[in-house]
Amino acid sequence: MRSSAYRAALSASVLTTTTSLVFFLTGVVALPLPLYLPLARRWSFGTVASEPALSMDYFGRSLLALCVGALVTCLTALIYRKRSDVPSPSHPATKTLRLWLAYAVTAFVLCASLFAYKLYDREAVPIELPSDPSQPLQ
Amino acid sequence: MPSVFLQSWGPLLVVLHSLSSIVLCGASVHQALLAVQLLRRRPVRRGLLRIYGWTTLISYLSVVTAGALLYPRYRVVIRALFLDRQAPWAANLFDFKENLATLGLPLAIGALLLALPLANTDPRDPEPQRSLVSDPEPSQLVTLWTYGVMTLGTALVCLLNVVAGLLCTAVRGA
Repeated sequence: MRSSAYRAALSASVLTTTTSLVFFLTGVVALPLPLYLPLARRWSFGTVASEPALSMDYFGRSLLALCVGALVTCLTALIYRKRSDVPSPSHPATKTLRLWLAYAVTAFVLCASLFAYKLYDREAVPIELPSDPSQPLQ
Repeated sequence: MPSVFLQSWGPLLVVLHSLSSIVLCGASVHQALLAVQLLRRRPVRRGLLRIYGWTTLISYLSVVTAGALLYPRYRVVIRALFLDRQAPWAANLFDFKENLATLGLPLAIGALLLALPLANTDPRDPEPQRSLVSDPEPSQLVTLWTYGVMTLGTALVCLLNVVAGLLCTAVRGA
């Protein structure tokens, strides 16, 4: 139980840290991402600033963060599985777990704080919507 | 105004989103209370760790899926047509809630990853409910703390999102 609980704790912390950091990155850097255009009902790829029509980047940002988080967690689990054959004293293992838990908490708080700061006084830009359904959409 | 994706399914999806979030709140708070009991070295029923872990993750995924399907309708009908003009603070609060939901998903997955080995009962253990809490090793203690952080984080995200969701719905409806 102890070995599998250790692996699970490490995976949980790595997943949280990586997802939060990548999500943080999407909040500070205008990365090209999949964008959904709800009026045109289609997907495009690019940055929000480059898209003149009403666009949603939330799906793209979330998918990127979760996919990178899952990938890094799987790689970490594979590396740990290979290294687990080598007996290791309990102290470094505990230190590693503590460190990753601290990384996870820090990354989560940092990312949540960034979005709270960005959205606290965001000024909305009202978008003119076409009133005629037959009008071509952007 | 042109229709958006699943616009006519909006009310049904909102009901599904709300019902799933009720289940999620209950499961995540119960899971967090179990973690607190473990950290206080009190005995817990191990089967509950697994049950609340799965219930939390499944209801979390259900809430996120229903919310994602509702999002295009919200973005155009609720936010662009009303909130951005009349109550921008509610639009900002809603977007914060959505971002927090993405950040909370790894916590719910991590809590389940930890609940499964913690819930595994050793058949040779005469007191399986107490073995986790009697005299944990340092590495086991850090594992319990990680479980505590994951479960408390999940519960906090869920409760904050429910309050934010209710506030936004109170402004414009669904």
